[in-house]
Amino acid sequence: VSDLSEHPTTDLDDVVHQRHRLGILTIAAETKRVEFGYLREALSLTAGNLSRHITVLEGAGLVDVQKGYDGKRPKTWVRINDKGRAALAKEMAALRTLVSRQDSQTDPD
Amino acid sequence: MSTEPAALLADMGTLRRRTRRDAHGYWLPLLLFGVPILAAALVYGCTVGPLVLDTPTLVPPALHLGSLVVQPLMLFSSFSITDSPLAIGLYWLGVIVVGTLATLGWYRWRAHRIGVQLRTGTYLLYALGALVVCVVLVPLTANWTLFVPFGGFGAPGVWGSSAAFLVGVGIALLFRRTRHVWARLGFALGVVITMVAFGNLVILSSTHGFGALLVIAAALLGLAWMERSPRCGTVAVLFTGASLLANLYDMENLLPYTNNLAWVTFDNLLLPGLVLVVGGIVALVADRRAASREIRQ
Repeated sequence: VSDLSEHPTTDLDDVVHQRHRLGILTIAAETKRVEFGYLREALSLTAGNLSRHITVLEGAGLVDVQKGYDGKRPKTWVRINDKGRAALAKEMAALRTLVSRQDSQTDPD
Repeated sequence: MSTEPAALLADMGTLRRRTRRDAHGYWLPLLLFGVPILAAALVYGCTVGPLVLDTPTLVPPALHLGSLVVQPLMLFSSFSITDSPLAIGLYWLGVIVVGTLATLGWYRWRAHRIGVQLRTGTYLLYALGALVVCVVLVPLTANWTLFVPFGGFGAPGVWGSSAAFLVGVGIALLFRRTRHVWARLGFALGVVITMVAFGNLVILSSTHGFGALLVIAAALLGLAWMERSPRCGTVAVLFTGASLLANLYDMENLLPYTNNLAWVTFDNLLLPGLVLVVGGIVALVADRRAASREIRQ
């Protein structure tokens, strides 16, 4: 019986693992900062849903949110911080481990 | 999007690629630098005087700091046969400064338009770093370059400077963490040897006085790194090679040649200029095609 504490799923973080929040972190990690409208369109989310996900990530200390104006239009920018980058890297590593484990279990050899 | 690990990883890969694609805007910086490089021959044409070598007019303006003589624009004009090395030097300085600032403005404007802001600090660091090396460090170390055993032109200079550079780095690394006074002196000696050797390598790499191309090459390598773009990286590497060729080889040997120095300059700058202009146009077309494909979908 394998030790459950060593199973790769234990490395998955509930805050980060949610697919849309993982998407927000993935996009933000490619940029210095990303605008709310871009995230909404890229992830096909409603403004309300996206706002809730960003609030969760901000509450966990993984992203910083900056509100400002572009002319008269309000703009919200999301910036991933060091903790967010570390959490994203850990999550991606855990996912890769899970995939390689699944691959090795389905391998007929 | 799925929550299955493999599907999730694939989705994140797609998002990453899409974000990078949307953020790409390197076509404009390539044109911003490429067009003035091709147009530089006109400036050389306007400043060309009689074909007289070794006259004081060929020496770019210098600052006298005690016993040191510093020619900030030496790599941008010192080997050009022209009546006005200052005008040529200022032209290249202007191309670098205006091109760099315009590029920063372009990415700032794109960030507000598209919603994705890149870390332009990386690009600025490469551009400013290379500019400081060419305008401050090398003109300063040139005071000693000619008096050290590894100085001079040709293969001995290249091999000697390369070896001295490695030795200097080695000495500096060896003593970098030791606090003894002799070790500190050793560290300082290593740094000085490294800087003088590196300075001589940069001088040797800009023999034709097109040192500005090397600064632009460094800036474009930083741009490619900032954009995480293999295509931009390919253009930057090709441009670096073309810049070294323009500085080290007489391209008029291969291309149509007249005694007109503006024409000779054009021959030498044609390849690096074309690399950027063609690269910029290709990137612009690819950008437009990707955008129209997205609208159709």
